[in-house]
Amino acid sequence: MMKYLLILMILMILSGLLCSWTDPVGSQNPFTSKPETQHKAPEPLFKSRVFVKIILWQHQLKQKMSELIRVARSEGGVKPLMVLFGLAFSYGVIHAAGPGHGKVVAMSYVLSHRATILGGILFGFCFAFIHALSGAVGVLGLRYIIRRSVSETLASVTTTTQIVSFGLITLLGLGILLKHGYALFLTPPPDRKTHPEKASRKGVLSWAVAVGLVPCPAVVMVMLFCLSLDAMILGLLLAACISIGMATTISLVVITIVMGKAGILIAVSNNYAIRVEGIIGVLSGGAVSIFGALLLLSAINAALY
Amino acid sequence: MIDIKKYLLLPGTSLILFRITAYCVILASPLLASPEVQAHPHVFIVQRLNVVFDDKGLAGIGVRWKMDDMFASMIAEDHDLDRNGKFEPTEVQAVKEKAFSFISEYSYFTFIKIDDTPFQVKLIRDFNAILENRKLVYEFLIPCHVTATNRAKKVTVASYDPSYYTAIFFTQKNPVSLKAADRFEVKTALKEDPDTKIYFDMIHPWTLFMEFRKK
Repeated sequence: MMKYLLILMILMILSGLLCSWTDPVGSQNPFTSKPETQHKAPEPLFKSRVFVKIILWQHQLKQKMSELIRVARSEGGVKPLMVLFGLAFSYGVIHAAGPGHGKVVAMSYVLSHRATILGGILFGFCFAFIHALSGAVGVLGLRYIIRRSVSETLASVTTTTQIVSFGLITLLGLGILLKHGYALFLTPPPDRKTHPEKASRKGVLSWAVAVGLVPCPAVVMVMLFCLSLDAMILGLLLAACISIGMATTISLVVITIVMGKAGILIAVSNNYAIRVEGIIGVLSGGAVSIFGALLLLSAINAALY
Repeated sequence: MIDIKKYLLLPGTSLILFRITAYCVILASPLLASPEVQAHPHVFIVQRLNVVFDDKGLAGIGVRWKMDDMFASMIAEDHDLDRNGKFEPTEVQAVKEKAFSFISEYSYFTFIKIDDTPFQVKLIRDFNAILENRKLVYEFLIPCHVTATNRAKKVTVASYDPSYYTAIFFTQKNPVSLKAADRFEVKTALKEDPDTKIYFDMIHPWTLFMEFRKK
């Protein structure tokens, strides 16, 4: 039973990965970008007005944050700051539950590595930190160093980082595919009793960099808003809170997948588990490389406009 | 053999928990793998409409959009070049060109029907961008001439971004006003249009339903 459910899960994840390339280059603001570079609204898996409510909560949270930033800036005091940090954390949690944010690639990382729960948490935090840092550095760099239009230049910066990010994702996927394919088909099965394979956190940073390189739009907006009030330090602190919120969501997703994978491997026999793990590695490596390549092609296509 | 305890670095944890989680992951995998759950919108607008009449009947729809604070700060950052917290005429022109005109491809997010026949919004007039206290407002007029007769004419004005990148709501206070409408009998109502669906049929946009005729 578990064997068939496992196959079902892999197929669903693969279809999700391959469908996700339809939103390859992120959302382009219709006010500031040419129509040919814009994209259609991506279709949610479940059509429910509940999602619309969640969207409105996100809007309300964002509006509340901007009000409190003004209050904190004009009146000072610890209380509005504490509330603001809490709101920024909540915004990060909700924001990361939305599309993108490396959840799909994080899942592939777990499926293709002998990841630990601690490794999953580490991945979540590294990714969120790099994602937020990229947004903050992007805004500060454009404003103070390059001194160019943020909304226009940010689109090209995002496209460039996307090309690098998707290129890295493709290479990592190919690496996994080759590694697991070689182990599965070309080497004899190791004696696990004498050479037990240990859990590993190898590759966490490279995966987090590959996925987190693209600037986080939420951090960009908050940074821009704070800079408009000459509150750069507050902007950086809020970016850190958003980053911790995003890390919480991503870590929860990764932990769930780690435990789920472990549960599946427990359910099958030991010898079979090794083969299943290898197959999962090959499939997720293949899916990630295809996913990365499709995203890369779309990002290059967008850059050529 | 795979040592699950080493695998997860959590000695003593019940294996039943992992089995339950495994089933949960399988059930939730389509959701986890789904590329989009709550993608849009990213820009929020609070709208006020001013229905403008002339001697013959309807002359146009004045639109006032109050943009959300984050969007406002982004536009101010790029276009308030002298950093005085206001837009001068040259800056307004730049805002129009670089942060407004692109939506002409989407009928300026305004979809009008006259007696159930679509009226394509192709041009607007009198665009202005107002920056005050770091709040940003766009104003513009959509020319739309409908001659009043003794029979009531029906006009609907739905405001939405077809891609739902932008969400448009009516302001709660005075969402619709009439200008020079003394000669006409005008009825207005604001409600969600059940016949129009956007964002994968999940949203019915808020719409102005209006009827007018000669007095």
